[in-house]
Amino acid sequence: MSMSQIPTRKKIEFILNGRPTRIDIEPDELLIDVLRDRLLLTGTKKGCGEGECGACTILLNGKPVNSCLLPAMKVAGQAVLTIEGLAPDEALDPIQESFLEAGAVQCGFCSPGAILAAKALLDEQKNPDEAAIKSALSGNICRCTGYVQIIEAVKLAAEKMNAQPPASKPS
Amino acid sequence: MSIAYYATPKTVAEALGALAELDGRGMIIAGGTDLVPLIKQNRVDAKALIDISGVVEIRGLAFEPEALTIGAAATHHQVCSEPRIREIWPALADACASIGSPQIRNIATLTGNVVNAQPAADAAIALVALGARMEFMAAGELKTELIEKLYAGLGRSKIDPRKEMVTAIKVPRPGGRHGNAYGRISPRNSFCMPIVNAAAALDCEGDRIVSARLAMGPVAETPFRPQRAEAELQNVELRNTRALEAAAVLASQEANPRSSCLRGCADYRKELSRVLVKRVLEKAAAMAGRESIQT
Amino acid sequence: MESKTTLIGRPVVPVDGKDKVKGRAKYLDDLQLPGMLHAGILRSPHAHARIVGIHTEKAMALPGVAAVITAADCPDHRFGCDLPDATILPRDKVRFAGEEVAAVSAVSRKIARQALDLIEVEYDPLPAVFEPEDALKPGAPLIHADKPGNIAIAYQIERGDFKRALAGCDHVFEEEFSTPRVLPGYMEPFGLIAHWEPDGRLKIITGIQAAFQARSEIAKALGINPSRVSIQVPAIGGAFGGKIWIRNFHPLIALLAKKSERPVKYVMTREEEFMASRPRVPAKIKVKLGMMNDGTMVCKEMQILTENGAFSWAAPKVTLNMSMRTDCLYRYQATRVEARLVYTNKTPTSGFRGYGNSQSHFAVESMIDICARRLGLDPLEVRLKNAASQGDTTLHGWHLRSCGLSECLQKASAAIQENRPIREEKGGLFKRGIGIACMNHVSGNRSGENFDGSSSMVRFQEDGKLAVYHGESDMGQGSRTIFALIAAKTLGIPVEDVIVMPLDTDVSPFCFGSYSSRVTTVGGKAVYLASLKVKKQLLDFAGRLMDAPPEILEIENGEVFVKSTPDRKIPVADLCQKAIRSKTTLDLTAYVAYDPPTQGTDKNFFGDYSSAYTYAAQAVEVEVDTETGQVRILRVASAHDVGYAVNPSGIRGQVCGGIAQGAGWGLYENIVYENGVLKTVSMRNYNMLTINDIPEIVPILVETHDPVGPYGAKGVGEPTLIPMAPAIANAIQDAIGHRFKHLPITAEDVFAALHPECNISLMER
Repeated sequence: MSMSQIPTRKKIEFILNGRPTRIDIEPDELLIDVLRDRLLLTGTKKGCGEGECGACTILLNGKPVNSCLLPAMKVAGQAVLTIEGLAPDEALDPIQESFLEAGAVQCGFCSPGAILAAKALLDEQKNPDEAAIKSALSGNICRCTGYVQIIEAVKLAAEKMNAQPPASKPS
Repeated sequence: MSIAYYATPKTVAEALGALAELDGRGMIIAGGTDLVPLIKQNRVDAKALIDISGVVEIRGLAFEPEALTIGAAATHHQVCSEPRIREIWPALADACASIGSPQIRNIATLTGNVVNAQPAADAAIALVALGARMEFMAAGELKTELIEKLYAGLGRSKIDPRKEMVTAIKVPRPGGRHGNAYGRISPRNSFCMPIVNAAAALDCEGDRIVSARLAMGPVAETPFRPQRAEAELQNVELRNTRALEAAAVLASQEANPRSSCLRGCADYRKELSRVLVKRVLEKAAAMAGRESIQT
Repeated sequence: MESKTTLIGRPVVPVDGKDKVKGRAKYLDDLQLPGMLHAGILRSPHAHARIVGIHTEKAMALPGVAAVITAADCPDHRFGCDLPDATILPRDKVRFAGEEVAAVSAVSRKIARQALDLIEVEYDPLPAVFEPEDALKPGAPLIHADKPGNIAIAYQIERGDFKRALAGCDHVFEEEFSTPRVLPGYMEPFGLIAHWEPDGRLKIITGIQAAFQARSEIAKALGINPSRVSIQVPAIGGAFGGKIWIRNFHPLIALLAKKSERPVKYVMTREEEFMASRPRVPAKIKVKLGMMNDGTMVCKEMQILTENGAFSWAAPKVTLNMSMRTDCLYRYQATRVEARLVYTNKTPTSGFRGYGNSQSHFAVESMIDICARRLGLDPLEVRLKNAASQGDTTLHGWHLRSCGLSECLQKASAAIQENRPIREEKGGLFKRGIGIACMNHVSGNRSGENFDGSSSMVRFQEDGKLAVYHGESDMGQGSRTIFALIAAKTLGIPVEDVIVMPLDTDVSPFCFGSYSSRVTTVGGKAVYLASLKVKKQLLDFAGRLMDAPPEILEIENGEVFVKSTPDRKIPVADLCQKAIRSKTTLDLTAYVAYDPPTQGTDKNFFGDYSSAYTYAAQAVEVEVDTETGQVRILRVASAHDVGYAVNPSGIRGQVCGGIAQGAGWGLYENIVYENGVLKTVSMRNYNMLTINDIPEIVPILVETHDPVGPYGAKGVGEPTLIPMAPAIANAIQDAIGHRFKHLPITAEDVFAALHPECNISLMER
């Protein structure tokens, strides 16, 4: 196969924030750039571009990954959740609410990534202890809060989510 | 050099086909957490990437009578969250759990950890101590080799991701009385490169060590096995902490770490490796000293 | 912290919090303008080199490239802070590896990067100098022709009769300390969008702490009138002092936008942040402390050597703060300081949380423990014996209108002894220790006759909502929330009815900026005063409508009512509608330019110069693994004199964040050079605290009700970091008997001290 025959740009289909999405991408495009520059979903933040800060965290099939290190081609056929997909319009997911109430948001730059990492944890464990919370958030660097109120936020979110009747839980 | 083509094969055959067609211009990518930063820095000379993370055959873990088979696309998260691995090969579970961050572990693979060929790669250190082998397709044949023999030098694997494709890692199942453990020392508690790391695997008969395998990093260009220390451990009683300590001293003497202005001076790393090997040996010995695991 | 609610009697969430958690808040890189191009900056690989030639033809020829700027395109106006020595681009020589040499605009970041590789620069390397001591040596390479000996500035300050005081001491101790380069480490890389309007005005969008100062400095660099420049500040992803002052890239990208005839965005990569953003000023501090047998601290002398890097930004002021502020923490009879700030061929240094006060407190608060122990005295008792207190006028002329220093010390030291973590016996290999340190700081400060206040405009809208306009930036510390709380409380309206408007220098009132922990005290005071002014307008109007004298009226929950008969009431919204929409034509607007009642400093730096002085004490419990040298901070009791807690949750956030940064500075963070080459170029090698590293934190609020601040409030942003490093060093000495005087205190250092038999030859730092 000569290089000139190989198709470069490719159309991929994936589920983005619950909706089927199709987009043409270049073979070397990273998911973070597709989200932020192409799809104008700027809630996912670029803190370092080298997978060392977690500000770019999104959920891939429910698991937190660094979108700055993810070739966009990898999400073909997969499900991606960004911060914009957590709650529609003016609504707040219990985790978002808890971050606000617990004082876990200062500059807010790490918050989308941290909230999604917390969501992945709470979707898997209903009552994580402090060690599990810390482990789940250990890939999200925050320079403002010193983390104490972030841990409290996740605990508060667990309480809220456990108190909710199943029918009203956000999908 | 930018990537012009990104293949997402679904089978091993497709992946090998793509490799062959691209004839050296393509490169295997698994998780990409090591490779993507290098590509961004223009340090990768390839025009195409062949992503094996979608190849179903190599994504899982299989528990066989003789060995644990870890598919080439299996992630650190899969390994460290599998209770049976934690039970039988805690060294591997702990090693994988200490790599990077949860985000990295959800994507990065043990295969990549080995092929990236860094001397302190945590999963590789544990795999070397456990006597693990790598299975890979090269020149149309399925080959197998001990992981510790797959290093060509600092940052250079003997596996050529332009021509060869790893299909699995095989970790031998311990028989009889056995203990293994992993440890690392780093400046902060998580998401950090280690100052030193180490793993130990002890095969025993009764209360005595029959064979010991140790792996240490980064005290050489590749994961390092301190053979004099291993020899010294033969016939040692599990509860003989003085002998375990003596072996650790030997191991640190055999070790030859560089001084790094970022990671620590050579003298300190040598001393730390002594402390760490002792701790790891004690942990492995404690595991062996318990009821033998139902393997 | 005892449950204490906000100024308005109930908890509030940050006013911009919902946008942040929904990912809607717009930070610089989230913004796009039509036709916007992306910039790349070419940086010098050499620490010191003559620029022989620059060739840009190949870069210009790359498809997608719009423009290239070199020094030939730039004016030569000097700009900076106190000692303006920077030009937009260097014409003759580069002075640090990482210095900007050229800039490119292109349709994508990728093409901009490719274009940079095509710019050819011929350098003629010059000898370089990397350490201040070397830069001072005769014959050392001269970095700036007009700064002989590479000395940027020197201070000599003496108060009282030092020689006499020293002679009368029972003991004189001398020690030397040092602190390294570390970075503010904000998560959002710095940058800007620059575009020129059709009328020729320059608009810059940038997440900067001091917008009006940026406006004047950018104008100065470009040689244009400041009113031709407008700065808009979007959401800021952390700053900590690293985004107060402009960078060279601000006027540089403005020029690039002009030449490109399109808006241009530039955002630093994280690697560029490591190479070119300005670290904390490194310092070597010799302390001489004269004491009496009974623990009286009689006099203190410091000799300070600070490193400027290649250009002067905030380091001169940082060095001045370093020279002075610790003199006012205790009641010395006399103090003396000699300080020199020296150029080196490294990235310029500047301000970071504490702004020189952190470095000097590390030295002095460590020193006190050392000396107290040598005298067989309790370091806490020595501090309490000598502590400054309310009503004092200090050696530098500060009037301590409120001072909770002793209370902070007592509360922190008591708290650290309670609920101590259970001790695990690990065969005696793990040793625990407790240490305490305290500090003083300012809430803003006035040099000479400068403005040190703030301005605010408040305006009722016809729907009863209050718009608050302000020129101080919110960098995440929650200043907008503070302003909303103060306005809401003062006016008796719901905090949800207060809208704090975005910062735009074309519209916002003139302010100096968010630094020096000043915003609550002076910024909040301006909001308070403006709110009072508009309240009077509203009540005068309400009085006419309700046929009641305004003095008998009050406002609560958005309604104006007669105090004695609360049933007589009118909603604020109705009043606003009537006032604005009818021919009453009441503006319901108030603009206040406020300056606090402080003198400022004379040319010898003497004078009461801060709106409010703040105090804190931190007590730390550490655990040392004697086999590896690793130090873990188990617990911190952190007591802060905040005057009055307007937003306790916000203060708690500052406490925990400052502690995490202080712990990183004390133990893990270091910007490392090897033979003049920067090695720390990635977050992989720069260990800020993760969630798994934080200690248990016990925040303690001390309220001394300052007479100047709004509702008695003072600043707290920087004080939360300042005592940490010395408290850690003091705790380590308590644990293992070794004193570490050079930051960071690494596991390697601790191990080498604990195990001299291992003969560790430490690498030079």
